Amino acid sequence: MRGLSRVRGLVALLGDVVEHGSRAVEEVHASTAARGFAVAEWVAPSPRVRAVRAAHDLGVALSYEGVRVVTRAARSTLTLALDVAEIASPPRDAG
Amino acid sequence: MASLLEQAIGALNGAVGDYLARTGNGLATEMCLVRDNRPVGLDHASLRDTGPRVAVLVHGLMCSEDVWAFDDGGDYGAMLQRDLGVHPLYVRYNSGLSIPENGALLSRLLERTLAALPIQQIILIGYSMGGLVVRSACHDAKLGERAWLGRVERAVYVGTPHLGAPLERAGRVLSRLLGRVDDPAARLAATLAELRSDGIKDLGDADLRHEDRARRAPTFALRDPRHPVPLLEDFPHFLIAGSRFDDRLTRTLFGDLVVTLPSATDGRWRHDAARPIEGVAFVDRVHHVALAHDARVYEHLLGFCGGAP
Repeated sequence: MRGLSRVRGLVALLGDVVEHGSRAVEEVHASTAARGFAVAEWVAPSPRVRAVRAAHDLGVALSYEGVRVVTRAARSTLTLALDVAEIASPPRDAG
Repeated sequence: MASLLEQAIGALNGAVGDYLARTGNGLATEMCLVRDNRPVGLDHASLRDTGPRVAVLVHGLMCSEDVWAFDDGGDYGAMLQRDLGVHPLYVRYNSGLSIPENGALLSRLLERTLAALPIQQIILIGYSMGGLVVRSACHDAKLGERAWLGRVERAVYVGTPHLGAPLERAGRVLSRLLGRVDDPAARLAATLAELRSDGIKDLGDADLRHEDRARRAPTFALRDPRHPVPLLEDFPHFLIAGSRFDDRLTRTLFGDLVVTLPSATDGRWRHDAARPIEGVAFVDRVHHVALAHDARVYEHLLGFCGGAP
């Protein structure tokens, strides 16, 4: 069962990497974009620039959240499959 | 010895093993004795022939017991068994946990081992971080008055950063500086750097106790040039240090490229020393990882283990 436990661990670790990693990258993305939009709004303050920024921010948030949702779904599916595999496999000595 | 998978898991544990343990991840390695690439219980058949004198080999950061292996499949443990009849016991552990945690775990493991096997004399051999884990275990055993400490006849440290690792201290400062830069990418880099394990962070000042870890500060200099936990006087200690270079100054500064000579010799190294230093051996033209499987290192190890305790 140590092998299955490790596969579970790998699935969990990859899930954590995507979850936390995507949030960190999203933060960098949003901060970097905010600087550009701030300059644009300072140079040409208009409703159009603000609308573009709002659309951009929404798109970014949805994209990163989408990645996390798909990852969570894949993780749940794999965990379920491992549960089934564990139940189906005969018990063995540890090691 | 260990398979590629075990080596990869050992490296992963060294990098983020504290996180793996904290989150109950199945990839976290539990401290155990290993025989033929598999963890073995103390009732395992392969341990039944254990003699009264054993050598406990503790590997370093981000590796497994495989680090001891020579190209021909031999290792220090097997060679000591051949030459001195010492029975080798290989320890595998999560090198990402803090050194005090691993020290306490090793102390408990040795206590259980002593209860299960007919051991009279113990030689402790620690490579790199493994040497600090050995020291921390001895400290734990001293405080807890554990019986196994009384059976230790000597300890040999191979490439162990007794006075910390400058690389980690530099990383600590760099990480702090990056965190202060008002730039999202720099902050991300700082966040990533801070993900390194407790075990790696402990190497900076060679922290053996939890209270030492709590006093950690971001500085290039050693927090305490005289280590707060001196080597125990209960048994002799031997140190083997390596250097990648021949030149005196360069080898003092860079040592084996990971551990400096003053650190590997617990402050006993003097670059202008004319005479050999008692209990200390030097090996030239060797890098840090090779110290764990080098014929010249073994000659010193054999000499240190073969003499009267």
